Amino acid sequence: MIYLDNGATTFPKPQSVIRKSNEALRYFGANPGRGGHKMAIKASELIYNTRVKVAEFFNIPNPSNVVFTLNCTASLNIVIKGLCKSGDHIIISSLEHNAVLRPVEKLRNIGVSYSVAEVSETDDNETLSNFRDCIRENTRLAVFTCASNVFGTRVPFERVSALCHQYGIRTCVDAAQGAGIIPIDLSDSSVDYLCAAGHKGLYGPMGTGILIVNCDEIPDSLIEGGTGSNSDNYSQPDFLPDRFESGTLNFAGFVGLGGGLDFVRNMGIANIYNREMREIQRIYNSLSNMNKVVLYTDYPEIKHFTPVISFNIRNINCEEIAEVLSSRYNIAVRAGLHCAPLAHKNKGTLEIGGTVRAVPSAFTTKNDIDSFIYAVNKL
Amino acid sequence: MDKLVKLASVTEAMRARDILKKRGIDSKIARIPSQNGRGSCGYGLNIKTELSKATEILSESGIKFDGQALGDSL
Repeated sequence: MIYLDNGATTFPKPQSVIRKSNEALRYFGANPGRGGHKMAIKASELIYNTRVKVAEFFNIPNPSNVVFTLNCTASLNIVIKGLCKSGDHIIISSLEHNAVLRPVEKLRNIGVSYSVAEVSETDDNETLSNFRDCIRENTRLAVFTCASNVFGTRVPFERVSALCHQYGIRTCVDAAQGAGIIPIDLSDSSVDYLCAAGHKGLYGPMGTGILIVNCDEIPDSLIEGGTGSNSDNYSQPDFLPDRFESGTLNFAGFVGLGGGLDFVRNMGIANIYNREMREIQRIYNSLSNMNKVVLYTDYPEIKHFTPVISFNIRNINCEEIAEVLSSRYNIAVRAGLHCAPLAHKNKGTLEIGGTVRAVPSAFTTKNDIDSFIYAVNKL
Repeated sequence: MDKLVKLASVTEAMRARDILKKRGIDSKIARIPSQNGRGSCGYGLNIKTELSKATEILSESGIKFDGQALGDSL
């Protein structure tokens, strides 16, 4: 199979990930942070090692500020719902995934309002201006993606975060599509909360999410329960990471994530990004020469895009395109709205059911791309 | 005599251990017994030597702890 659905999850996973998860389950499968016997301590150690790797990867000094969650969606829910109360206002971008849009929309039920800032594809100053225009006196939080999961459009997240800080607004970046692809350095950053998926650009197993608290304001907890700490206290811990880690962690998943971080570090983010962008640019150039193909962005320059491409073929539903690519050519892509109705609404593809999306990974070969281009040409 | 320093969590205990190690003080992760029925399910460090220096380093690093020795108090 030619797998180009890496926007949903990366496949295959590096050997280091599979090996580490396997070893965790096979030899160290005690519950971390729950006992004092050797295996429990060793399990705790393995989890801590991944925490340290995440802290180093995003350049924060304290690994305790790295929270492990179920997925990026869970991380976003913690920040959005843990911070915002009735009367607050939130700013989101016009590219948001439902992981941001739905919890924000839900909060309207308790009197939280939100505004949508338009993201310009190629003019960061315009994007910044649009965010500024959304700011109100009661704006509590700006939560936005660093890159669209549908069209690859990048948001200048550091500049937007710095702008928000000028107004005392907390910032939360959804790095589901950016982590491991574009450099994210939280030292001396205005990003207060970073949410990431462990299983996309970081090549970890599914069921791993990350929340980094990069400021001194800790959101309220959404889930309370056993944390293996201070059990005689009926209240949820107020310190990190325990505050947000009730119940048992995906132990094998997070140990494997450590292997994914090793992989990305060894490959080099810049190498991965440049290589994948060249592939996307090659696809774009080829598809733009096919009259039947509809593309939705300008040429994907490295500065303004991540390696994601969406397209349609005139008069054919996107789901049909994806189905034929899968059944006839054994090529995996994703069609539809990609859980991002705002992004599609912005491009006018909401009404036609969305687009076909192709996303390469570090394992995608030149032959894979050649075969994909050939197949689309043949459709 | 073993000296125990209680930290907020196993994560904080490991962080404290690594900080102390960088400063030349060895310690070992340990479960901390509850005291007078309080503070159960605690993790901490068993520090064999230089307890005063260790706690000083932890304080400088902003790590909160409860220090106690088995049978002694700091």
